[in-house]
Amino acid sequence: MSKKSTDDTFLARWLSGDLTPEEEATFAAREDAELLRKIAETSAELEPPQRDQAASWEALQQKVGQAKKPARVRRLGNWWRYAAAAAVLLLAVYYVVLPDSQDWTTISAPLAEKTVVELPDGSEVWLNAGSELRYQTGQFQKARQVELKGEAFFDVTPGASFAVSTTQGTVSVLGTTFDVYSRAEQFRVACYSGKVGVEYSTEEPQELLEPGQMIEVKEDEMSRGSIDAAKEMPEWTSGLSEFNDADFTTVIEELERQYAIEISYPAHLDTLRGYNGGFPHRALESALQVVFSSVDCQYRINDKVVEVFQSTD
Amino acid sequence: MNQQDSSCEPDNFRRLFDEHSKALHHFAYYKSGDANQAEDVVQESYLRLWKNCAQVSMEKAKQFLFAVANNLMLDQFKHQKVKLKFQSTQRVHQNSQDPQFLMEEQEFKTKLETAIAALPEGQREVFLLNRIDKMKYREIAEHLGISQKAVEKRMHKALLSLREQFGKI
Repeated sequence: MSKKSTDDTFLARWLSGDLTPEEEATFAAREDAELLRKIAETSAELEPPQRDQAASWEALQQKVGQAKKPARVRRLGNWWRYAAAAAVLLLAVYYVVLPDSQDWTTISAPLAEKTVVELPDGSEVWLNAGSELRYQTGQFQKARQVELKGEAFFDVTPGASFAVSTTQGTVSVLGTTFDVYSRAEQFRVACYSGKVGVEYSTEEPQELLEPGQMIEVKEDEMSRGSIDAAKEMPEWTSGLSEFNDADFTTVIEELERQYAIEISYPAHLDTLRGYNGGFPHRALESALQVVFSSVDCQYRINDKVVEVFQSTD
Repeated sequence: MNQQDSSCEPDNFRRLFDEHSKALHHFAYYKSGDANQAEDVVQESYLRLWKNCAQVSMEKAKQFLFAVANNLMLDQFKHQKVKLKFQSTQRVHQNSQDPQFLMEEQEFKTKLETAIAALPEGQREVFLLNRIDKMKYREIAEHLGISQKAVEKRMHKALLSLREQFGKI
């Protein structure tokens, strides 16, 4: 048997008719030559299920049309529809729409406030404290693209693709609910319904999320995880910040954003990892209590400054 | 990019759909084994092409479509057991209408379908794009973003595994 006959592309070259005459002879002498011929011949006759190409084109035209359809710019409208879904929530709705000089529409949730906004296509966005969302006012009609700094929960009206860009990655969906967190070195996306695509690096393929799934990108490393699939919205939208295996500094920063405070704390807390727990957004004392008692610390509130120190027995 | 070369032109976009949507649907079907999901992938891929049409020339459009479809399906179908179904084509054999022969042919086909479904995804898509959609190795390589050598290796392996499977079934 010639050396060629055992190489790892031999049968591929046989199939495409690229064997040399000598190789052809080697092939013909194989025991399985007849079987291979029959496999090649029969497989070429297989037919995948038919599809209605005209209907497919029609469906596509509709989506293309929807994406083009000019959207109405509406002021924050019926956010109250969510009141039932978030009965516990005492949501401070702060709403700013300022078309700036570049014709960007910017919506922000300042510290200690959350914002609910309805976009021109009817999609609703919940902005967590200290977050900002913007989109090109004229362009949004053509392509649903927004930029996010911070954290937001999206309830996207079904239609053409909806993309959320952050400095750390892009999230694209058709019509779903999902949460995006993009702060400092952390990027996290959780899918609550529908399907969500996440691109976090030009070198990596897009990650797809199903309901109940999340991905987190931290220091360039991507990991997959899960969220409570029974929940319709993240906890923070109903006034509670929750942490799962978080760095302690992440927790402290969230406290600062939710209460518009500054926290000074012992340096060793910076190194703490793996915090599990949560705190309420409308009760500073209990929030500080629950967070800092877990690490044996006490606190002193001085207007907008909170000093945290090690408990002394 | 001039207008003639732009996939944004409605006529061009239509042509790209007519020419490639079937192969794209097949491709998605080979990977997932689900014709409906494959159709969703086709729709989404073309929608993305339309939205990015300013950046994608006619020449690059097919490759773009396959790349998008490939990405869309990367995780979606990873853990799904693929069940491919092909239409039963009633081919009339001129030289042998012998029922025994036809039955054997049908049996062989069924076995082959099972064996193809059992192939690893990478081998299956290469094998079927070549056999059914008559794509050349070079073309498959471009669409999948892998080298031609890699395509040939997969093809070689696919044929070996199919042959093995026939021993088992």
